[in-house]
Parts: sequence; C-alpha cells; structure tokens
Amino acid sequence: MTLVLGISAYYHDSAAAIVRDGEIVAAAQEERFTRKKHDPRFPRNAVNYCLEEAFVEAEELDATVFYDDPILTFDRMIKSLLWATPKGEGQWMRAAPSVMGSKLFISDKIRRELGADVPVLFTKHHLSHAASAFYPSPFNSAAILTLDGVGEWATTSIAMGDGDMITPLCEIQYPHSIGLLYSAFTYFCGFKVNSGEYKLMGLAPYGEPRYVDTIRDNLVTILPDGSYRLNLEYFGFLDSIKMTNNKFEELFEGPPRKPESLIRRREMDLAASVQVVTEDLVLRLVSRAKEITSKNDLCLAGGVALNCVANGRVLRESGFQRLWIQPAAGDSGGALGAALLASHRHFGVPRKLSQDGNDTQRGSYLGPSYSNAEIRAALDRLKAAYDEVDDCSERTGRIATALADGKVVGFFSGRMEFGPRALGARSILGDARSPDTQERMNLKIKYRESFRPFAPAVLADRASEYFELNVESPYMLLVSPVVESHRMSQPEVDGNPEDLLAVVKQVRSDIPAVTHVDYSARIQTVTPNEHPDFYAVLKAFEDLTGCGVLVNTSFNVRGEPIVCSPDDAYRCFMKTEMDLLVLEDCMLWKNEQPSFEKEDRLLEYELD
Amino acid sequence: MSTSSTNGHSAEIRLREFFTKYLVPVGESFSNKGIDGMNLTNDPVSTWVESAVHEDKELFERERGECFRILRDMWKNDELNELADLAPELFELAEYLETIHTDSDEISSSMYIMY
Repeated sequence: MTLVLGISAYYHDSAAAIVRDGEIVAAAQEERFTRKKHDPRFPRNAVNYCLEEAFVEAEELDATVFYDDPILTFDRMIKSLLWATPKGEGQWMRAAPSVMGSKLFISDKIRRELGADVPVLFTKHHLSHAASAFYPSPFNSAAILTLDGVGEWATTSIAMGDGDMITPLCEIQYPHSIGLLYSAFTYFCGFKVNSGEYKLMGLAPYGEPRYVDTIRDNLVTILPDGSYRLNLEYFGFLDSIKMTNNKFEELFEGPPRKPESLIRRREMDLAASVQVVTEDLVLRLVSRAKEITSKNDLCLAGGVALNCVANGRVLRESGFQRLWIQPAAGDSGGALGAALLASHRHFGVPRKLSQDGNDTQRGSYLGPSYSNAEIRAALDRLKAAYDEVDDCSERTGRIATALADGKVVGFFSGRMEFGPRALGARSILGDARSPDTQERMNLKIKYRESFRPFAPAVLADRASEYFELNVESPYMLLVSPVVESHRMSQPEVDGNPEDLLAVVKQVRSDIPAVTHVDYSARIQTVTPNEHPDFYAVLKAFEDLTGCGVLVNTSFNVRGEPIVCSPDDAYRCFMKTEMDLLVLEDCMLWKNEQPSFEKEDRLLEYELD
Repeated sequence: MSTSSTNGHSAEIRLREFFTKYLVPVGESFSNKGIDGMNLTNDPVSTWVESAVHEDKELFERERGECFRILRDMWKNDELNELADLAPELFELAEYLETIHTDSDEISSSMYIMY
C-alpha cells in the first residue's frame, strides 16, 4: 500500500489531501475547520481529518508532498525586491517573515506538525495544478493548461498528460500573469483581491466592454500565439502593497472604487472589459495548447480556471472534444495534485482510469460527513427542535413541498465538497421559478451584494431543455445561456437603469432566480450516481412542479467559509432567514426552534 | 507579521535594517548594471512563451541546510554574484525569523498573495 499526503499552504486556501494506492481518499480546505475564509495557515485540521478518514497514523505515510518549491519562490521574491529597490520595503516587511520564517523550512515544520519523521517531497506549483487537473480526469491523454496569479515563476503553463506521465512544455513567467491582471481590476473595482475575483466576473454582464482597447493598448500586449506581457508601468504589485498605481488611475478616470461603496457604471464597464480580454487570452492559449500537443481533450486548473464564463467559451469554441476542469482549481487543489503526482511518479503506482468513463474525483465529495447519531447528538446539545424522517421519499417530498411554497432550505447531506462550490452536500436551495428568490436569498440569507447571480442545479437529463449545454457540468464550472424558449421579453427597467437592483429585479426567464442579466447561468448538472440524496430532492421537486431546476448556493453567509459540521450549519440557519434545515435525516423548521442569540450578522465575519 | 509584540518589534527593526544595509545596495548595483532579474521588456519577438525547464525528477527532497546553498549556486550560475554573496546573511536572517514567526491568518485585500 502506498499512502501519500499532499499539502498546500501559506498562499491562500491551505488544504490537505490523502491518496491511497493512487486513489483519492479525502481532501479538505483548512478554512472549513478554522472558520477563517481562505485560511493560509498550515492545514493542521485538514491534515488530521485526512488521516482520520484514511484511518491511518502519520507514521504510516510513505511521504508528504508540499505543492510548491519555496526556494524558487524565494528567488522570485528577492529578485523582484531588488528590482524595486529603493522602493519595495513594504513588500519585504510583509513577505520576508512568512517566506523566510516558514516556507523555506517547511520540511521541518511538516514533520513537527505531524509528529512523525516522514519523507517530505516538493514539486512545482504549476505541476501540482497540472496533476490535479489531469490525473482525476477521465482522459488517458490530454493537453493541460494551468493559469493562475503566480506559482514560483510560472503564471501560465502548457503541459501534456499521457497515462501517468505529465510533460511540462512551455510557460509564461512572472510578472506577466493573467491572474494578476484580473486581480488588479478586482482591486480597482473595490473588491478584495484573493477572493473577490468571482464577484468581478459576476459584475461583468452588467457592463459594456468599452475599455477593451484601452486595456489592450496600454496594459497587456498579446501576440497571436497567446503569449502576452503586462506593461508594468501601470501595476503596483512589484514595488508597493497595492495591485495598481497612479498611472492606472489616470488611465481609468479616477481612483479605485472604495470597498462597499456604490458600484458605478465605470466599474461595471471595467469588469466587462477585463472579462473580454481574459476570455480572448484564454482562448488563444487554449488554441496554442491544441496546436503544440495535438490532443483531443483538455484539462484546466489554476485559479483562472474558476472563471466559468471563460470556461464556457473554451467548451464551445476551442476545438477540443472534451474538457475537464479540476473543481478545486485554486491553490487548495494543489494539495491533491501533489499527492497524486507523488503516488504515480515517485512511487510508481499505476494510474487507473475509471471503468465507466467518468472522472475519479468522486463528485468532489471528499470532505467530512456526519452520521445521524452524530447529528442528533449535536442537535440535542443545542436544544434544537427536529423531526427525524428516515424515509428518503417522505423526506424529499417534504423538502420539495417547502421549496415549491417559496421556502429556503439549508441542505446538509453526505461528505462536504472539496473546492469553492457547494454541490448539494452543503447547499442552500431555493425555487428558481420565483422572481423574488434572488433578492431574498442575497439580502436576507446570504447578506451579500444584490447584483450577484445564483447558480442552478438541474437534473442532468433535462439540462439541455433549459440551457444551451450538451455536456455534463457536475462541478458548476461552466456557464451557458438559458435557451430561447425559456426566456421572456424584457420590460423596461423600472427606475434608474444605472441602478443594479432595478436591473436585477427584471424577470428574464421562467427560472429568473438563476438567469443572469445576460441570460447566462453557471450550471450544475446532477445525476443519481454522485449524490443520490441531492438528486432525489431535485427529482421530487420536478415531480411536484414539473421544473427540474433549483437554486443551489453555498451554505454560508457572506465572508463565512462554507459550513462543515452540523453545529456550523445550525448556527448559520438560526442567524439567517432560512426556513428549513435538513441535516441528513433530521428536519428543522425555523419557527419551531428555541430562541437563539442573533449577533450582528455582518460583524461576525469579515466581509469578503 | 505575526509574532509577539516584543519579538515583532525587534524583527521589524532587523528586517528594515537588512533591507537598507543589504538589499538596497545590491538593488542599486543591479540597476546600474542593467540587471532586471526578470523579463520586463516588451521586446518585439514572435513569442514570449518560454520552454518549461525539464527537471530530472518532478519530485525532490530538500533539507534545511540545502536551501541557501542551492540559492547561492543558482545565483552564481546566473552571474548574480553580489546576490550570491548575500546567501549567508539571508540564511542567518531566515533562521532568526523562524524562531519568532508564527503563522498569520491575515489575507491582504489589496495585494495578491505572491510569496
């Protein structure tokens, strides 16, 4: 037996993953346990969970693998600082303690944390991403494109996977980076870097891409083969502690938007423009990958691969026959990639493709689960009122009825998801048909910005009836349009057309809660294989209403990591206006619960 | 930086001193010699894609004593001798920081986490 633990840490989203004989056993992000979103610290809770799930002690590990080469990261840091001197002291003060005090001596740290003298291996950041995308994919052979802010030096890499071999082919290096370009606009539009990039993507459809030429003429030069360079005169990330500088402000008519202030036309148009440039870059790089590998299938990973709008275009326009994207495409997935790489390439465990042609990511349900006994114990401790309904058909019938009545349901079922998307294990569900659902869920349940769209979970066999999508999208990583027949003619905006809320309230389809302003939707297709209980809820809702679509959003409020345990779920349920909580077989109605100390929701978690 | 306040203050002083005493002079020297250490120019070529470095092994072990030897050798190979000469001081600083540094859960909202 070969047992390998992968670890990613000290950037954002630290995580651990464990692989036994080349098969994924468990993976989880540290934030879910510490309740600190994107927690970058050593993932000791995630490591403990992985060991527990694999039912092993640390001494039994054949190796631990760190997903990055700290020496090369340090090399980049020092060269970047030397270039910036005499400026750059702020970056040095921030970066040196972590890089020099922790990362360079990570082998010792890992052994100390594990309390075991296990071999510690290292690999490269983009190779970890590539491995996370290729090994769990259903492809024996594929092109691999990885895109993120930066690894050690690489920011964009093309590789080729064959069997258990991954061959890196070419790369683009720091400081030129699509991820950093996107993050610069995230910062400038008033969202948090490292977490608000998906908000910028959600804002883009509200804008006009009127800055595309300005970006292309001034910020990024793109060659026909997809290679690119940033014009560093406009960015602050090399010599300050901000992503952009004064010259960037002059180019875009003023200072960055203040966080939480009104979103203006400029920010909407900037979001639309950088999205267009990003999609163009991604498509060119995908073409390049196709050209140099001659493969039919493509794997994607790295934080930029969470840009599901770009992914949708890759699927439709790239010429690759099939596409597989690592659901934990950001740094957390690096832990999984590193563990798989070591299993196959260091220990020689043969890679086994799934017999049924599916991937081996197991639906990305790789986190902790809780038994009914554990849930009952937690609820009794909390003095919660609940019904235990162990008949699946009865339970799903009740959930479907509640949803059809416009209730919002917290759904906690099975193993927690690995990656940023809730896929029916830690989800909040709502009726996609109701025009009020989006506003209600955003403002009274998620406590987040009103403009942000919700995603649909749809029965896989009915997906093409609602969306222009002819492949499965189990990980909610593809965006496609709602089909014409479900769209509605759009009335004039009632009020100021610059007012985002007025635009949001327009009914665009017969599933308005999941139809974005441009008629797009970020789709999760659901089959009975990966998560039978979640499928059963969708099916029961379809039986009751004829509609095979539900709103599926992550079970958390703004700034909070997705819930992990029954306690987390109950607390989140009680502090929001959710109506019904389902914890495995236990059903809890809000109006039957004892009083609960309701702190100020917005103060409890730092806003994301 | 996440350390106790006393340690944090001493570390801050030491880091500032290091920056001024060692990094600024080397940076100035590199600047005078036209050394960027990175690909910064938009020189007209047909591609900016670089071949990926093929390593003998995709995975490797690395112990603490090796770090600065590897860095020093790498910098010497790149003819960055002034930087290579800083390796002992960098190692000393790293060992000091290791003794006082505790992991922080802080995530910058204005800067991508690059290091």
